[in-house]
Amino acid sequence: MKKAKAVQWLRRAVQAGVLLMVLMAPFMAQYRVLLANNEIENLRQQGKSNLSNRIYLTIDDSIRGRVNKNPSYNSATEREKIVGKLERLQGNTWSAKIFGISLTDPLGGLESVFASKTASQSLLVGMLVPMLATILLGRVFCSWMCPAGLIFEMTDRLRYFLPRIGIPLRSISFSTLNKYTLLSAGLVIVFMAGLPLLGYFYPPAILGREVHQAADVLFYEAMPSTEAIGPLVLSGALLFFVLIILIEVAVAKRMWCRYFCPGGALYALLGWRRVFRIGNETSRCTHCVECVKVCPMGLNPMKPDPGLECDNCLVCLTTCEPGSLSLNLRFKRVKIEPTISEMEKPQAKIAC
Amino acid sequence: MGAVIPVFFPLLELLPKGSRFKKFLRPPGARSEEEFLRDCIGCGQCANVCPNKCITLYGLEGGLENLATPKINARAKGCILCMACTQVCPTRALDKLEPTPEGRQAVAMGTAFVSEDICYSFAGRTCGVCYHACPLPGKAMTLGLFEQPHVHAEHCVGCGLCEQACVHMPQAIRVVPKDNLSKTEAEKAAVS
Repeated sequence: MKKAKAVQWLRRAVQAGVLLMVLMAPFMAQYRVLLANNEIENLRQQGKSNLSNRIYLTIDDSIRGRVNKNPSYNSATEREKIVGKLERLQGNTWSAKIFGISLTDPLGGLESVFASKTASQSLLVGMLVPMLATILLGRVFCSWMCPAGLIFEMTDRLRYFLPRIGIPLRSISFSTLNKYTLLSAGLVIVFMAGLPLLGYFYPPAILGREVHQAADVLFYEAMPSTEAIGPLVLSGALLFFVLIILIEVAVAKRMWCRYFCPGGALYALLGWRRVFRIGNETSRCTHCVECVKVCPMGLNPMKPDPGLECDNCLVCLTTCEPGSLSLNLRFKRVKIEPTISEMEKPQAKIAC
Repeated sequence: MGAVIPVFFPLLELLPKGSRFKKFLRPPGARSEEEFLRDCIGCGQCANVCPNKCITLYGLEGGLENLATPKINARAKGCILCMACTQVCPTRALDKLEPTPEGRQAVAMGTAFVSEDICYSFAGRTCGVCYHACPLPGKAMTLGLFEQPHVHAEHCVGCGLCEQACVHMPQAIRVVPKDNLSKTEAEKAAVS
C-alpha cells in the first residue's frame, strides 16, 4: 500500500508537470519573441543600417543585411541560434514538439485523417508514440497526463464538501456507451463536413488553446485594438469548460471522462488489449468493496479484469488492504468467472 | 443519438464555407483554403513558434470553420518568411519549406495590389517605403519614377511586409489573400 501511495504521488507529479507545460509553453513563446527581438536589435546595431526608413523590426532585416556581406551565411542555423533555445518545449497536449519529437493526440490525428481523407507522414510519426503507449499501457493519457483530467479530479473534491454544507448533489449514472457514440458520430460528421471539429469539444485541446490565447491577449501587440478577439474565444470555449465542471459537480462524479469524452473513448478502444492490467487475486480478496468506492471511473476492480474503461490510474491499489489487487503484465485475456459476476449485485448500490 | 445524425446532415450545408467573414492571410506553406481547413487541427503550434508573433489564432469571429486556425493580419504585422511555422506543423496543413531564397519564392500567401489613387509616390511625392520593406526587392517589386512601386504578381509571395510598412492611412498597398484572389479575378472577368 505504501508503494501504491508513492505511485499516486508520482501520478500527481506527472499530471502537474503536464499542466505546468501547457500553462508555461505560450508564455515561454512570448519570452522567446522578446529574446529574438533583443538579438535582432543587437545585430542591427552591429551591422550597417542602410535601410533607415524601415518602420518594422524583423529577423529578416538582420538576415538580409548579412547575406550581402557573407554568401555562406545560413539563415536556418542563425535562427536556431537566436530562438532555438526555448523551442525545445512547445505546444500543448493536443499537439506538441518536445526536444524535437513531434507528438500529436491520436484523436487530433484521426480527425485530421478523416477530414482530409489523406494521411501525411509527419502526422503518422507524431501519432506513433502516443498510440504505442496507449496500446501497451491502456488509457493512461486520461489518468496520468490529461491536464483537464487533473482539473476535473480537483473539482470533483467539491462533491465531498458541498453536501456537508447542506447543498444536495445528485448522482446520475449514464451509459458509458455514450462516449463511443459521440466518438463515432463525431468522426462521421468530421468526414462529411471535411472540418476537424472534434477539437472544439475536447477539454485538453480547449485548455491548451485558451492558455495560448490568454498569453496572446496579455502580451498583445500584433493586432490593433479593434480586433481584440482573443477574449471572444476565451469566453466561448471556457464557458464550455466551466459548464462541464458545473454539471459534473452537480450531477455525476467525473461525468465527462466517464461518459462523454470522445478522446477517452478512442484511448479505451486503442488500449483494449493493453499489456498492463489491474488484476484481482480472488483467493485473497476479502470483498471489502473499498476499491469499488474509490475508483474514479466507477468500475469494479474486484473483477478478474476491469475491462475497457479502466484507465490504469492505480487508485484502487492504495485501498486494497489484503493486497489482492495488483498491476499485472498480461498478454492473454482472462475469462470472467460467473461466480464473480454474482457477487457484483449488492455492490451496484454502493457504486457512485 | 441515432436520430441526431440524419438531422445534422442538412445542417452541415449551413456551416459557413464561403467568404462570409473577412479573410486574412494564412501562414506560408498553406495550400488552397479548402485544403488548409481540412488539414488544420487548430493546435496553435505555428502561432506558438512564430518569432515575429505575426501569426495569431482566429477566435469565434471567424465562424466555426476558422476557429483556432492561424491567420496573419498583414496590416498589423507581416510575415518575415522565417519558415519556422512550416517546420513545426504536425499535419499537411503547412508544407515544409526552408528559409532559403528558393523556399521563400515558393511561398504563395497572396498578392499585393497598389491603390494608385492614394499612393504618395503616384501622386508625385517620393516615398518607396514598401519597396524597402519587400523581402524580394527587384523581383516581386520594382521602382519606377518617384519610387512608384510596381508589383510583379508572378514573384510576389504575399508576405504583407509592404502593407505593414505603408505610411498612408488607410494603406495604399494591400495584400489580397490567395483565396480571395481567384474570386476577384473571376469578378474582373465577369465585369469585362
